[in-house]
Amino acid sequence: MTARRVAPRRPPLPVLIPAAIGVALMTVPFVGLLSRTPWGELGSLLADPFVAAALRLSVVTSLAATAISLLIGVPMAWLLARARFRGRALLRGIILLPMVLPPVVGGAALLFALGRRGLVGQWLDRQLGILLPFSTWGVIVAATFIAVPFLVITVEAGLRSADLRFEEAAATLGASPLTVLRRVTLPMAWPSIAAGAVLAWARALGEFGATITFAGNLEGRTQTMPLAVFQALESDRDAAIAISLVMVAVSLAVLVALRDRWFRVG
Amino acid sequence: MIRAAVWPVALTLVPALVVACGGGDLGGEDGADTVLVLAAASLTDAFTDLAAAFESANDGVTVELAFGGSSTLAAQIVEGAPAAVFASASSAEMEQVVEAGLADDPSTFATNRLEIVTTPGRRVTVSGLGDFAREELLVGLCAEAVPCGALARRALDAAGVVPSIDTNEPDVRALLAKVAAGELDLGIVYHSDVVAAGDGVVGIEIPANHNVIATYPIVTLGAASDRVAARAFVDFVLSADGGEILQRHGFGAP
Amino acid sequence: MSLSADIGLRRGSLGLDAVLTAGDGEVVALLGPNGAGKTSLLRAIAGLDPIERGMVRVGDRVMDDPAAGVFVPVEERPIGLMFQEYLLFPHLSAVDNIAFGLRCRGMGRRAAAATAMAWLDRFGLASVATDHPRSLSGGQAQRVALARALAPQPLVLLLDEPLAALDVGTRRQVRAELVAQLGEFSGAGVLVTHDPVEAMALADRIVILEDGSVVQEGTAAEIRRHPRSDYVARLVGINLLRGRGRHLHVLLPNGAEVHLAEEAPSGEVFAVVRPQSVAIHRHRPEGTPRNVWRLTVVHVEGEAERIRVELDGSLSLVAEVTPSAVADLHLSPGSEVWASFKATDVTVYPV
Repeated sequence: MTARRVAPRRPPLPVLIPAAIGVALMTVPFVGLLSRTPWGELGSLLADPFVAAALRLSVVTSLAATAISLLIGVPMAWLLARARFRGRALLRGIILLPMVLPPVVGGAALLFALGRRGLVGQWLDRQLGILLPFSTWGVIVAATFIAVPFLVITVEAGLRSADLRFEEAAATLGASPLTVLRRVTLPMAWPSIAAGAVLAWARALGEFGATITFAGNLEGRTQTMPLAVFQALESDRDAAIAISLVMVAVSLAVLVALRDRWFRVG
Repeated sequence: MIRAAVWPVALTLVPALVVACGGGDLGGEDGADTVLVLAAASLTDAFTDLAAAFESANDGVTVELAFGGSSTLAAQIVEGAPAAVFASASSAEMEQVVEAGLADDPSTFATNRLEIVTTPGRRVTVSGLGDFAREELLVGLCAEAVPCGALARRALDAAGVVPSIDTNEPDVRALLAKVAAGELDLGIVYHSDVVAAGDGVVGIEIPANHNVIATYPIVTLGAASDRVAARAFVDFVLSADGGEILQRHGFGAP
Repeated sequence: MSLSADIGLRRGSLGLDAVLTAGDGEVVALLGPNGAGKTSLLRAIAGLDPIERGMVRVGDRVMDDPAAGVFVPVEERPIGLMFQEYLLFPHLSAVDNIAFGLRCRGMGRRAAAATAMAWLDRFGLASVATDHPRSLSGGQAQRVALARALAPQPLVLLLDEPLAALDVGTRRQVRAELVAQLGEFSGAGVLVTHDPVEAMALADRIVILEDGSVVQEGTAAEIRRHPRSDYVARLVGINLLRGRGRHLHVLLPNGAEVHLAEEAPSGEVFAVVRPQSVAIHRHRPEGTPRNVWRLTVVHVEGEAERIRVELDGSLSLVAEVTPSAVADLHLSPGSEVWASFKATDVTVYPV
C-alpha cells in the first residue's frame, strides 16, 4: 500500500471520524438544554424560593460532605497506600464500591444500615434519638457515602507516587512518624488531596439516587438541586431547566479548572 | 486515504442502520405484535395480571408494561415515547396527552379511593387523617405533581388537617415501600395499594366525607404501530373480565 | 562521642560485613567502587536499615544490637545524614528546611528560625533564606543540605557523596568550604565517596570498601604507598602486581617473573611499579633493564604532557610517556611493543 505522507499535524481520519461522532454525542444534550432555556426569565426563576431552597441545600450539604470526606478519606487513603495488611485489596474494593454501584443501591444499603429499622439506625434512634433518614444530615451522609471513594482513590494514587526518601530524610532529622505525616507526607500530597476534594464535592453536588432513597424529598430540608430538577420536570419545566443550567455551569467550571490534574495523578 | 476511512465509518453506520430499520424496536419480536403500555404505578399488580390474561387469550401478542408516576409518563409520551396505550391515575395527566394531540376519547376503566397506611406493629397508635399533623411522626406523601399526591392533599384539606410532611416520594409505590419497611410512620396511598401490600402494611379507612375518588382513564395512543392489538387490549381492560381482575386488586368499578 | 559500627547485613545480592570506627573530630572517608556497599553501610549506621549481625554504638550508647534485641529508631539517633540528592523538602523554604530538625527536637518556631538564619549567614546564603529548593543553584542547595544536617548538632555526621551532584568548577570551591566545616565539627564524621582526590582532601583516614568488605584502611599516604587491591592501585594510578616472592624474583601466577633489586619477602607479595618507570620500545631493548616484556597496546589516553598507555599480555601494565614518544613509535591500540622497567624501580611488600 502506498503511504502518502500527510502533514503530521492533522489527526488520521480513522481516528477523527469516530471521535467527531463521539463529540457530537457528548455535546448535543447540552445544546438541547441551552436551546430550551428561557433566557429572559432566568433571573426570576433562580430567585424563586423553590429554586433558592434547593440551591442553598445543595451548597451546604455538598460542602459538609466534602469536609467529612476529607476527614475520613485521607486516613483511609493513607492506610491503603502505606499500611501493609492482609485483605487490603478487599478493603479497597469495599471502600470504592459506591463509585461502581448504582447510587440507588447505595441509598437502599444506607437505609438497611442507618434507617429507623436499620442495623445501626435502630440503636441510634432508640438510644440517642438520632434519626438520619428524611433529615438534612441524612442528605450529608448519603452524599458522603457516594463521594468519599473519589477522594480516596485520588489521594491514594498521590501517596503511592510520593518519593519515600523525603520521609527518610525527615526521620534522620528527628521527626517521629506522626511528625513525618504532618509536616512532610501530607503537605507534599497536597495537590492530590485538593484534586480529590474537588472531585468529591462535584460528585456530592450531583448526587440523586442515594439521596432520594435514603433522605427522602422535602423542599428546604432534603430537596437538593438534582431532586428539585426531577420534581420540577413534571410540574414546572422552566424551573427544572434553570436549575439544570446552574448545575451544568458549576460542574463544567470545576472540570475545566482541574484541567488534566485529575488524569495526571497516578 | 478514503480506503483507510471505510472501516471506522462502516462500523459506526451499521448499528445506526440497524436501529433505523428496526423502527426503534430493539427489544421485542416484530413491532406488529407488541403493545407497549405505560401505566400509573398504582396499577402495577393489576395490569401485570391483565397483561398475562390478555396474552394467554390472544396468541402471538406481547404486552410490554412500564410503570411510573402518571405525570412522568405523560411527560415522556409528550416527548415522543413510542407507547401504544396510556393508563393514568388521574384525568389531569390524560388531558395533557390529549391536548398534545396524541390521543383522543379516553375511557374511564376504574376508580380508586385513598387510604391511610401505617406500619404493622407500630408502637404509636394512629387513627385517622388528624395524625398527619403530629410532628413526632415520620409522614410521607406522594409528590404534589403526582395524582396520588394531589388527591391526598385535597383529602387532608377537606379534613382541615395541616400535615407535617417529612418527604414527598416520586411515586406511590416508593411511598408504600418506605411505610412497609418501617422507615415512615404514615402515608396516603390508594386502596388498591393497600390490597397489594397485604400484611405488609396496616390500612386505615378515610371517612367518605373527606375521601377523594380517583378516576383512571385509559386510551390508545396515535404512536401505536399496531392499533388493532392496542385497541383490543383496551377493550379487554374495559370488559367484564378485565373489571373482575381490577376489582380483585382493590379498584372500584368505573 | 565517637562512632563504632560493626555491621553484618545482606541486601539483595550484596553481603556487607565491615567494621568502621571514627573518633570525635575525625573524618573517615569510605571509598570504593559502585556496588561496594558504601551507601548501605551509611544507611545501617543511620538506622534506615536494620543490621542482621553486629553492633552500632555512638559513644557508649548502643543504637543497634540484634543479639540483645536493641534497636533505636532513626529519629532518636543523634546522627545527621546528608543525602547525595540533598532531598531538601520542596514545600519548605531554605530557612524552614534548616529549622526542620531543630523544631523536631522541640525548639520553638522563632528560636529555630533564628538559629537557621545564623547557619545561612555562616554559609553566605542569607539572601536565599526564603527561596524554595527549586530556585537554588546546585552549590546553594548543597550548602543548605549540609546546614540542615548540622543544625541539630548531631554527634555523628554522615555524608553520602556530598560533592557528586556538583559540576567541576563548583565542586572545588565547595570542597574547600566542606573542609572548613568538617574541621569545625566536633563529632565523628563519615564521608562516602568514589573520588579518591575528594577522600584524600577531606578525610583524616580512608577506609576502602570492596564487595561488602573492608579491603584496606589507613591514611592517604599509607594507602598510596602500599595499595592492597587493583581498585586502589588504579585509584592511586600505579601498577600493582601480585605474586609469590622468591629471593630476587616475584613469580606471577601465569609463570612470568619480575626481577627485583632487593631480596623479596617470601610468601604472597605485592610488586609495585610506577607508570613513569615503564619504558616502551619498538624493538627488544638491550641494556640494563632486567624486566622486559613483549606486550600489546590496549588503550592510549591522556592530556597535555602525560600520556597513559595501557599494555596487556603476559602482564598488564600502564606506562606514562610523552606525546612525542607516542608519535615516534606510532603507538595505537593493537600495536606490538616491548615494555621494560628496571629492577630498582620495583617496590615489594607483603600482602
